[in-house]
Formats: sequence, C-alpha cells, structure tokens
Amino acid sequence: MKTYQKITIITLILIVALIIAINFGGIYKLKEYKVINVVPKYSLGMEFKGSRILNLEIDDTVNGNTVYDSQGNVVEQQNGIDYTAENGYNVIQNKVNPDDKLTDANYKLAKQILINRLNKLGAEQYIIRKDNSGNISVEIPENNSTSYILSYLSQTGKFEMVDKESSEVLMDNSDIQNATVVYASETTGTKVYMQIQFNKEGTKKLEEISKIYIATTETAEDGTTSETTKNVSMNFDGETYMSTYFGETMTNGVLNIPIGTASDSTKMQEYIEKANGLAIVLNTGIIPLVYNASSENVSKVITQDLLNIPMYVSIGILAVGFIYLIIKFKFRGLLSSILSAGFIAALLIVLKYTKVIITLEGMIGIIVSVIINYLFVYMLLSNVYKESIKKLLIKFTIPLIPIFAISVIFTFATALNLSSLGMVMFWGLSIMYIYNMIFTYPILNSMKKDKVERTDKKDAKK
Amino acid sequence: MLKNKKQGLINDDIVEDYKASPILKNKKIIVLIILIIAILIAGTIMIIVKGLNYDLMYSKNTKIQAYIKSDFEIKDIKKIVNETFIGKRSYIQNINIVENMLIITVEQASDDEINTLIQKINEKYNIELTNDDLVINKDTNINMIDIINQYIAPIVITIAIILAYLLIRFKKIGLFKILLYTIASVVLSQCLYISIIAISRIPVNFMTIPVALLIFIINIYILALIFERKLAGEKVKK
Repeated sequence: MKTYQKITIITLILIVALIIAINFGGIYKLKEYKVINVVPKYSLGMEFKGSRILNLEIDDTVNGNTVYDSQGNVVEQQNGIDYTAENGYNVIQNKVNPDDKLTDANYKLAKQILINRLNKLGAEQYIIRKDNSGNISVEIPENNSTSYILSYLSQTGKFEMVDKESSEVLMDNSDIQNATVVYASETTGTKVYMQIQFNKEGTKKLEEISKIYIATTETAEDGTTSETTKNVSMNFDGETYMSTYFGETMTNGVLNIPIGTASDSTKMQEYIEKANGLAIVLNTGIIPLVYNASSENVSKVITQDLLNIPMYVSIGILAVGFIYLIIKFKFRGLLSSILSAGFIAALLIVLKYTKVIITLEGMIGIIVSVIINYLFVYMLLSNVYKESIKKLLIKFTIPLIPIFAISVIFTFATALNLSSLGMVMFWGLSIMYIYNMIFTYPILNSMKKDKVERTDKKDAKK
Repeated sequence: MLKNKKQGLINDDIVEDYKASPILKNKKIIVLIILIIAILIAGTIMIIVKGLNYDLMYSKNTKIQAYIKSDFEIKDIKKIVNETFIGKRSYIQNINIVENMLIITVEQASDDEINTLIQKINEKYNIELTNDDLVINKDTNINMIDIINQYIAPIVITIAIILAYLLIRFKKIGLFKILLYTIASVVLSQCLYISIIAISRIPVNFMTIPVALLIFIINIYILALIFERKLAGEKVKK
C-alpha cells in the first residue's frame, strides 16, 4: 500500500471517529461561563417525552326538577306541596344530559367529532379511549400546542345568533356551511376574522336578519334625532362572544366575525390560532353531550428500562453482523464495520440537526436504514473488485425504489408516527449513499488498487 | 446470457435459481407452506377464542393519581404496588410538571386494595395520605381500530404506488403474477405476524404497530429483490 493511500485511509477513519465522537460525546463550547454541548438533542415523540390526558366525563348534574300535572302541564312549584306521583304529579329531573341522549350512537358521535378535531387541530399523535358510559379520554403529546388543542377539544361547538333583548335564537349550527379564517389589512394593523359561510337556508335567514337588526335614526317632534340599534348576539357554547347590528343587507351568506386586530406577528399568530380553533370547532359539529373536562400530565410511557432490552438486542445483532464481516473480509471487514458505526453516528447527527421527531416508528426507520446500509457495505465488499461502482450503485438502488417511495409517502402522512418513519428512512437512505461514497468506497477502492498492483507485480515476476 | 453476465447484472446463482424446479416440487417450500397455514389457523382460533393479549396501557385499567408529599423512588412504589395488587399487572409513572406526583395504573383496584395502598404508602413515607387525596380514573381498553385508522390511508396509497411501479417494471413477469404475489405477500406476512402474537400471547402494546411496519418494509424490499431476480431470469430465458 502506497503512503498516500495509507494517509487517505487514516484520514478518513479519523474523520469517521470524529463523527462518532461528536454524536455520542458532543461538541462543547464555553457559553455564558458554562461549558455546554452545542449539538442539539433528539426531538422525541409522545412515548419518549410525556403527554397530557384530557378526561371528558359525562356531566350528570341535575338542575332541579320540572313538575307536570296529570294533564301534562308544567306546574309552578310552591312550598308546602308534595309533588309526588301519588298526588298526581309527574316529576322529571332536569338533567344536563337527559337520559334519552345517553345513547351509544351519541357516545360514538362525540368520539368521532373529537377525532376530527384532533386531526384538524394538527394533533401529531393521539390516543383516544371511550368507555361504555360515554366517558372519553384523549392523550396527546406535551408540546407548545397541547393547551391550544385541548382547549378546543373540550368545547361543545354550539353556535347561536340570538336577539340580544329577547334571546330568541335566530340562527344556529344547522345554518352553517363552513367556517374559515380571513384577514384584512387596515391602518391599525391586520384584522383577523372568522368567516362563516352559511348554507342556502342560512343565507336567506341572514339576509332577513340583516334587514331587521340595524341602526335606525328617529326624529323627535322637537327636531332632535336619536339613533337606536337592534342588536344580535353571537354565542359560542352559550357564552356571548359579541353583540352587534348590521350596517348593510347581507345577501352573500357570509358573516365575518372579528377576532382581533394585530399590530405584530405574535398577536397575529394568536388571533389566527383563535379564529382557526373556533372555525374547526364549528366545522366539526356539536358534541351531542355535555362533558366535564379535566386534564392530567403523565410522564413518558417508554422509559430507559423498557428501551434497554431492545437496544441491547439490536447492538448484539449488529455486533454479530460486524463479526461476520470481519471473519469473511478480514481487514476490509474490520474497516467496514468501523465505517458502518460511523454511518449510524452520521445519521443520528443529521436527525438531531434536522429536528426530525423520533417516535417508535422513527426508531424502526433507524433500524431499516442500518440494515440497508449493512447490505450496501456487504455488496461493496463482495463486488467492488469485480464491477464498477456505477453498476453496483444501479444494481443496489433499483430494488430500493419501493423503499424510497415508502419513505416519501410516509413523510407526508399527517400521523406523526408515520411521518417520523418516513423522514428517518429518507435521511437514512440519502445519507447511506453520500456517506458511503465519501468514506467506504474510497477506502475500499484504494485497497482494490493496492490489490491490483500486487497482482500485477506477481504476474510480472512470473 | 453472457452479455448480461458481463454487464454484471446477472450472476450464475440467479441462472441456477431460475432453472430450479417449480415451487411445489420443492419439499422445503411445501413444509414451509404447511407451517404457515398451521400458524394462520392456530392464530385465527386463538383470536376467536381468547382474543389478543392487550398490554395494560391498551386494556381496561384503573389510574390512581396520588401526591406523595415526600421524595420517593419509583422502585419503592412498585414494590408497594406489587404487594398490594397481588398478581395484577401494574405500571407507575411520575407526572412531569408536578413534583412528587405519580400515576399508578393497575388492571383493577378494589376499595380494600386502595385502602391498603394508602396505608402502605403512609407507613413507608410517614405521611397522612387519605382517600380524598387520590384521583381515580377508570379507563377502558383502546379500540385498536382507532389507532390503525391513522395508518390506513398512507399505507393504501403506498401499496397502490408500489404496485403501479412493480407492474410497470416487471410487466414481463406477468401482471397477474405481480399483483397476486405483492398483495398476497403483504397480507400474508401481516396475518402471520398477528397469528404469532395471538399464539405466543405476546402483549399487544406500543411496539406492535412499529414492528408490523418493519415487516411491511422488509417484505416490500424482499419482494422487489425477488422480482428483479425473476426479471433477470426471464431475460436469460429469452
């Protein structure tokens, strides 16, 4: 082996050793009088990080009783009268959730609405449970959007436009086609609205309402004028969000409900999230039952203890694989084993810097990448002296096309578990080519040249 | 043939493999098929009779949330829980944001067991925990369909795209063969996996779906390799 070949191999091996050291040790810098590791930590999924559980229990509150006489008329209750069946009265408890609503169909509907909301609110991972009594629990990862998601999950989703004075319901959810978020630039900032598009019937109703609930100017006998307004209130889940009147007749069936005017990006984001949350709640429908919501934080499901066994098994299998390479290919096998360890380190560094969220499926992606890299290295070791690298690459890549397809499709999946797998595999396969072309192939190729030269010398001697 | 061999795309093994006797004449393959069928039948019977063995976190459980008011070690709590809920599966988690707060998950908890638990914790940590200090939630089993639902659409799209690719690339092998082998191998491998889980009573837990995905990926890769070899064989034959 010539000196420059030795230098090349040693340099590449040292770089690989450095990659391994950076991944498992880190890069330390002095920052604010502290020595800290500047290599980012892994972004982990719910199972490794902790989660929050929203418990939704069917509200069994009874708001007094309604008494009916024998003719079925409501009786105004008075003190001193015993309202019992023996006395000819029918006493019905005013339950928040009447018995006839406590059906399996309603429990299932509530659960489905929650699933739809979770998907639309961007919950990356979730576990939902429903028991036979209709109680539901939802578990989502603990991150910046947890509180936001849970706050909109627990809302009933009831919208009403009512007469402000008489509380007469003028419009409700049945009139809504869909809700979206829109913005308008104004001199004071960007105004964020939740835009409700009403259906055909709702559009007609809105037109009528917008003709009635307006500001009117009245002139008194003495010539003075006064403005009176007839207002409507927008209620969400029974709470009045705003009261207003119409300045013009609404013929297009679109109602813009102002959420806020933002003068900076933080406020803008806040208003958009609020408008979006409300729109999602309206679009996913009314939860048919009233629930009492409570939440609890729980720590990670997968602890180090649980991970140890599969981790040691994987390391063991990998070690056996490396030993096989060493036995079969001797020194080249040893070098390839070191290089394969470098590949794992390089992949993990990339995953840290690209902030790919690693779930259990993501870990499967790492395993798949390691297996494929092993096969690639094995193929290089077996064939690098026989065939050109171009042919070897083509030969190895063609059967991998379906795996690339899986990685790309999974990357765009909405479920975090699958997207994690897709992203890890995508990086794994990409790095496999880049890494092996930079490190493994040049080392094996330089050894190949050396072997060819030795063979030539032998032939010449003969 | 030699031309292909010179190109390095086909080696002698492939040619020999291709020339090998039809599948059903190979005894090893017949034994393998019988074994697979036996596992599938046994797995189906086990699922019908006993169902799958769901892990504690996936099945009906009782969560007891307690504030211990003292520093504690999970292993000590685990010991107390094991002594209290004899023979029942349990799992202990601490709560991230509140110090000294934990959640004990057990299969079932009777009032007596809860009282014993309180008593033992009080003795161990010299505190005065009462029933009122506990928050008890009863969870039902997770519907696996809810979990699997999230995976269905991407996997169906993936299979469709892969199938389209395989049909185009290996049309020389025969469209029906490709279609049959691909669908059968994907379905069979997953059914075999579920059957093995059912027979061996391995708990269905957070690892079940990731392992199923690993099997799916490996299956697709092996299938692509086999088709490549078959295609090479077809070229040799011509």
